[in-house]
Amino acid sequence: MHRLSVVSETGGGPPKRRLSRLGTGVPLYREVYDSLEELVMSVPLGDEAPLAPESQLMATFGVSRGTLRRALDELVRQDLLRVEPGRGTFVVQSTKVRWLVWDRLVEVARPDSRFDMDVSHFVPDFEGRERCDAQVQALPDYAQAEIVFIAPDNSLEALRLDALRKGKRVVVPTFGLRRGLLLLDGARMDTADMPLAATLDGMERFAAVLTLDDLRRLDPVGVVLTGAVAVTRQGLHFGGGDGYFDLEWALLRHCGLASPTTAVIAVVHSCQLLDVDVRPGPHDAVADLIVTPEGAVTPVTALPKPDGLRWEEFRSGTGYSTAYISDLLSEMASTKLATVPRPTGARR
Amino acid sequence: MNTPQDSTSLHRERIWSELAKVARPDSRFHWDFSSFIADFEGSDECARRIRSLDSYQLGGTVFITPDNSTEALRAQAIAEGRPILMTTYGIVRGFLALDSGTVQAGQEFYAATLDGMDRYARPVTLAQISAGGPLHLLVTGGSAVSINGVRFGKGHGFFDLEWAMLSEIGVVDARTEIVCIVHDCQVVDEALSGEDHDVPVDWIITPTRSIHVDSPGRRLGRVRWEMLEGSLLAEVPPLRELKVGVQAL
Repeated sequence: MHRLSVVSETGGGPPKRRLSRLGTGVPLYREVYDSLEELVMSVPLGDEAPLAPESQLMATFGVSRGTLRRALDELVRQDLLRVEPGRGTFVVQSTKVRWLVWDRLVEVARPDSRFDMDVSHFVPDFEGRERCDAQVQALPDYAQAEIVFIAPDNSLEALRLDALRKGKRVVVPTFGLRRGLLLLDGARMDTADMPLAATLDGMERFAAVLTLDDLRRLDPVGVVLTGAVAVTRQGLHFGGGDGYFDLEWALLRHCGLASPTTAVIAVVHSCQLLDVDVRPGPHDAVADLIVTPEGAVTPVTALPKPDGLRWEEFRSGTGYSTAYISDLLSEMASTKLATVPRPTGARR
Repeated sequence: MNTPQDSTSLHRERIWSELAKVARPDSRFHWDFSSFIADFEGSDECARRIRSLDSYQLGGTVFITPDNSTEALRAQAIAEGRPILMTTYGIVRGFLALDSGTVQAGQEFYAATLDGMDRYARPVTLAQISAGGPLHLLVTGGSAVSINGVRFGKGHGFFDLEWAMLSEIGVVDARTEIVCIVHDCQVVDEALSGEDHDVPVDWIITPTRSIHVDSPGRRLGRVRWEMLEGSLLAEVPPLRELKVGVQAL
């Protein structure tokens, strides 16, 4: 769990980069932890050189191996570092991206009704997002789509409402996919109910939960709208909060609701747009268009969209109480989609 | 008498497994009852009965906690044009006020949700609340409550703190009524002794029972700064306001 959770006892409050310290009583390993974290975060994104060897770090910080190891273990536990036996200790780029962007995002984010500004738990709405709405509404892919997939992000609430008002069908996952995928039908709803139906609190009151059969019978979605923690200019998408866009994308592919050519549009604040070269993993989601309040960015080179899944992370038992999600995952496990294809083609 | 601490472990498993049969999941917290106070079948009936109480009929602003179980009451109160005072979840952004007439017809259910209150209600300071006159009625949800009005289980401390803050600014007094909404399975039919700072309630309203607690033995509250020291809760806006002294409008 991200370090932000350390300061979020009540599930709210602004995340602090540093815990405030008194002079005495701070364990030495915590000081080493803070210094190591600062060191790791100061290295440019995408620089994948391993950390210096332990002996060098011990000398740099003037601590014993035990103290250093304790600090390193904590960073590994926080998923900022990973140890590759025989090769060294490396920075987990996706975690580093999240920590960097979360620190920026809290400056422009709008609070969630429950998580407040703890942006590690949700994808927030943000200043200027209304200018993103207008751009998306003008896109032919969106305007022409009869059925759209929209992530349950706070930043996409207005677009969910817009889609309903235009009579579209909206496929939306419940928060964290915990209660499955929902279908809202804007052509079969009372207009007065739409503002509530567009919210997380309201959507389930007006939606049908999609069974496996429903998913397979549904028409393909015309466009996929998602928020993110961050997106690179190459379109690499880092998902956020308790949602699993990778899984959602895999589900859509598996059920034939999306294809590699289905437009994936990421809506983000400009502080979430990274101009760095971070190598995508084989299952990292990819956006075709990135819409920020200042304008849209089309990645110059198209990254291949994943058609597999980081299967180990999504074995049944990771909290999905909907039987059909577990069933779907089991079904996917028994098909080719469960195997991890090697990325083909150009790196970017 | 058993203390709530004894009873909490004895009762919680049973209460939560019963509650799961009648409760509605939270949009974000799903079925994790330790993170929210769940809405349940029959909460709208509870709301109707609360609205017929004398203390509700007196009029004025009603304080309602940001629980899911109190959402039906919020919706009905909004539909009647009653002003509502509420805290944000976890009190992190302090108090919210929803004035009469703010919500257009047809949007009451939306405004009553936590997402909706964030859209429609406005943040208010303790100074602004104290200028608004006395509160006759406070309504809270609960994890569990004993037959003599002692709430226990997860989350009950927030209402104790809300009571303390409202006491310190003088908008509640001995005549203020406190109502707890719960499902029948959340009522423990034995008397429990609360701790000094616990705030016992006057009414326990379930879908089938309206239980009046005679002489709950409630005192005006005070903020226990010693318990809050070092916690994030101490930094919420109304407590910061109390620390520097509530500035009169």
